[in-house]
Amino acid sequence: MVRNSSTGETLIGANVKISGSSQLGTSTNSYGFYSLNLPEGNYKFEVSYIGYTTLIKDIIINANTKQDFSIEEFNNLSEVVISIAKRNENVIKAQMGVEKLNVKDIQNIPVLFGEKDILKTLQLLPGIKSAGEGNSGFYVRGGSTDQNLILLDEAPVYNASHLLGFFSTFNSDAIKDVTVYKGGMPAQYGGRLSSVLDVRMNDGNKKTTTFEGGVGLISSRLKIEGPFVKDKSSFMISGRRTYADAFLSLAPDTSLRGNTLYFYDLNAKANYQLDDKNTVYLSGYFGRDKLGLSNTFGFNWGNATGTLRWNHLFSNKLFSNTSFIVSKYDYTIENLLSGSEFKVNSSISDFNLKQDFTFALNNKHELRFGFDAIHHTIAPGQISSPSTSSVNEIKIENRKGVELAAYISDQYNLSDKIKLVYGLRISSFSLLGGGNFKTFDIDGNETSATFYKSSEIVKTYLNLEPRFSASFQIDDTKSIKTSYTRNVQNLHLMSNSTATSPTDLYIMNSLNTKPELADQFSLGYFNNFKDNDYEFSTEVYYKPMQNQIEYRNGTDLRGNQNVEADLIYGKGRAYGMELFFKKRYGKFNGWIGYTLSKTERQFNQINNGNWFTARQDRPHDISLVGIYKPGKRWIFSSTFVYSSGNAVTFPIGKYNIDGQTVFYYGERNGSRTPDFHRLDVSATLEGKPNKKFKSSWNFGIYNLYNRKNPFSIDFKDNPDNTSQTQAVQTSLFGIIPSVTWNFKF
Amino acid sequence: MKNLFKKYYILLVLILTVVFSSCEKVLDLKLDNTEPKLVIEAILTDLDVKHIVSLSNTANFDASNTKIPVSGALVSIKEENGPTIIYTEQTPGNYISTKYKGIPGKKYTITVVANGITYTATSVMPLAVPIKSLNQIELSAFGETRKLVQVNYDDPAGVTNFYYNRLFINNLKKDQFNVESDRFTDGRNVKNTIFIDDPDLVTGDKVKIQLLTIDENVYKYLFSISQISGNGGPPTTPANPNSNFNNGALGFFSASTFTVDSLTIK
Repeated sequence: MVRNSSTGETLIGANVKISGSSQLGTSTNSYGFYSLNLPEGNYKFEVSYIGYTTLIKDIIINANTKQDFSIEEFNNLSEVVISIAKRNENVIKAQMGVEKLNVKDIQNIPVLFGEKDILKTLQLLPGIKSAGEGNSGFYVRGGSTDQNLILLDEAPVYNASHLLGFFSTFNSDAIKDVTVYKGGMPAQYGGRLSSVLDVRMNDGNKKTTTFEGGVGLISSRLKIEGPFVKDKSSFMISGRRTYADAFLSLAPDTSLRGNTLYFYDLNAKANYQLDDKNTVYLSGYFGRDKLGLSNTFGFNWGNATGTLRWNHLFSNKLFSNTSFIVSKYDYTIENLLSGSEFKVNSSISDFNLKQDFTFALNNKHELRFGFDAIHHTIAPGQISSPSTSSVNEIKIENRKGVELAAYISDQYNLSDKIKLVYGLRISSFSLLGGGNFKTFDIDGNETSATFYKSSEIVKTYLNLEPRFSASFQIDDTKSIKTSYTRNVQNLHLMSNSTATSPTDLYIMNSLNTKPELADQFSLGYFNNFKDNDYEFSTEVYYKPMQNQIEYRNGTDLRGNQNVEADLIYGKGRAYGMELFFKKRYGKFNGWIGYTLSKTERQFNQINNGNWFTARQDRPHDISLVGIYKPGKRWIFSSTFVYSSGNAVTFPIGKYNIDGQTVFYYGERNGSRTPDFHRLDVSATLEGKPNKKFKSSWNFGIYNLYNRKNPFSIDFKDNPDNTSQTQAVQTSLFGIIPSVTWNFKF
Repeated sequence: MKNLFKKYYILLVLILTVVFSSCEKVLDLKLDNTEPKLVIEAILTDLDVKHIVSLSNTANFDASNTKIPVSGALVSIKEENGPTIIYTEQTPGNYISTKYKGIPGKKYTITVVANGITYTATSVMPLAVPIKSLNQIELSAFGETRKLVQVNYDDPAGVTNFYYNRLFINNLKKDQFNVESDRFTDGRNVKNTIFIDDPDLVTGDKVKIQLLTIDENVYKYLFSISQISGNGGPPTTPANPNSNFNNGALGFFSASTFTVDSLTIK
């Protein structure tokens, strides 16, 4: 195992290698474990991790040995002095299309209202695009927002945004590690087409109890972590809450007091090391948004997840992880208008059992295999109302389904120069009764309706998902990589709006809806310069997609019992090139990312069956990130983003219906909004070092030059001259300063 | 302490203002143009009056909103197993029938021949659902109290009903399509709250509501249009609504029952 020397926290993806050998080496898995096969002898071990000083240790290996390492995290103060091993794993490894975020970097990158946000920081990487300003939704390589598998300690998070998308559900205080796969998905992951975002929570400090927190413009945070039993067991609890409403209740105007508007997040985790072969972890997340207008309307939504895990070492070569996971997302809308009161509940909930093995066969092969079983329940909507209301009680039938998957993959070091990861995932989805299951023809007319008993299998889909990636190392600093993966998606998020909404509906495969499929082919060139100080990479990808889903025009989603009658099915394709240049070390570091891409969809019922530009399409996308640490206490950072405007449908004419101007629209997504660009800056002042109580101030300015970026463009009659029409652009955020105070003791 | 909180509160209101008051500006977009297309507006009611059918052409976005009338067309409506009503052009683009009373439950077919092309559409007049009354309610949100009007009617049980509320304030028709279905309110005494785009209603405003029953095609047509403009919800990807006319004509034909009521805001 590899751990942080001061907190005992296990490190994910730390590198353990033998000095002087490019082949003898491995990295720790998601639980901090590694396994190396070595003949007997004397070895010089090099253990390294981003942001940590490299540990070099001579070890004599003469039998099966369990060797743990603790490495030291360097703070900002000492970094310039201590030399660190420059790493080239990005070049050597077969895995491509992967990005790892350093949680320390996230803290320094400027964001809206100073609210640190991993999802927004991710959107600064090539191939990952924001779904809109201030929106935590993201598009990966032409996929839609629901094609990202977002995992928090292995539990899927169904709605990763707060406040209608302005903030993500991830409180970065509680986060240890963030990895995103946009291509070449390893076989242990499945269920979504475009990407996997694997977020791991902190385990908790095993040495001492610490408090950490912050006070910002819109929210406050507090984290407590510490040992139950020193070096054996620890816990972490982290909370965050916005406080706009706390002030509303003090308002002199009584009508303001009944309004609510807030969200909170609570992350908690505990672990216990039973012995040196067994560790158990329990972690959970609870978050909720509440929005309410006193006598009119109430709306709340949120996620809850829980993960119970057992790490077991069968031998020094065979590592096992067993997880039991629950996840639920639900929302409630209440209409309190007198005479038409009603309440709508909707939810999706999962039970999930997962078993993963890692088997270090020898120093050429590392096998991973396991299985995954998930039971989904979707309650699309239940309307309840008091008898005095004019609204009827309606319940739309629940849908249940089981996903089963098994996988095996082999990380194979074929030679010094060639490394492969290849594997296969077999996944199935079974739709379960009870209820009435209908089929619809191409025009949405009902063709059959059959009743199935509870737990009876209505339909099963079986898919094979081959996964392959390979690297060919030209020399120590250059490599070429390629990959092919197939991904399958059995759950689909339906949205008919141009923005994501908490009420977007999840549906599962059915008699009409087939699993979404994507094949991704990618090729990349990786090159490090100047003793690995600089990193350059480029990847090209082509991704055809099948069984994509859209709503018919004019679908009314509210309480719709036959939503499937309003669905249409088509194809998609996405291709592009990503360039990434990063300065990794030193006083000044940062990166430039550029993406050139195209994303299209084709549905027989849209645009006369011709291919049209998808909503996710933005041909050019540039992000620049710079972080500068001139001395011991100040950190300055800045980000600049530029992208082509959104693909939208604009009118090409107008007419009059019953006295009202109505627009005649041209080709679907055939036009573009003006370009998007923005510059953000921030400065962090660290408190004086060497004190028990550490504090820092973070000052930020969002949208420094006050660019009016388009959020929406509406067409309407000119209010000053109703015989004319005009296009009106709405912009959300002008220049916004922020200040946050953080502390730790 | 109290003062401190007050300061915080003022600060907060300032912040919220920054956050939630977005800014708007008018853009000068170069939009494409389209060939003129025929637009047909035809409502036939159960009132014993002269009915009107209006024919016009689409205009370019930057042109005037004034209708471009289409003259010289032949317009007629045929009642199922009944007479054919001939419309005659009275003013350019406006075709008027003789006095005639539509019958609920009957199917009507309109035929328009314009520029050599024949366009037809059918609509079944739904059973009558009259307005019982209008009443005024008040809503308060974030310190503002809004005055709104509710329309009361008895939805017939066991049949699917669709409604179109045409709203007039001080005798000026509001530019909004308030359409309703009885998906949630089948068989109930419905109190339908009409939300009104700016400006808010003030004391003395005369609100008139015409309740038209419509068939499903017309409901979908008007609903699609109202969805594009968002009307409070998140806007959808715009698309042209499906007209019940064939041969590419825009607009709709509705056979509707009609009642009207009005109320003065207190």
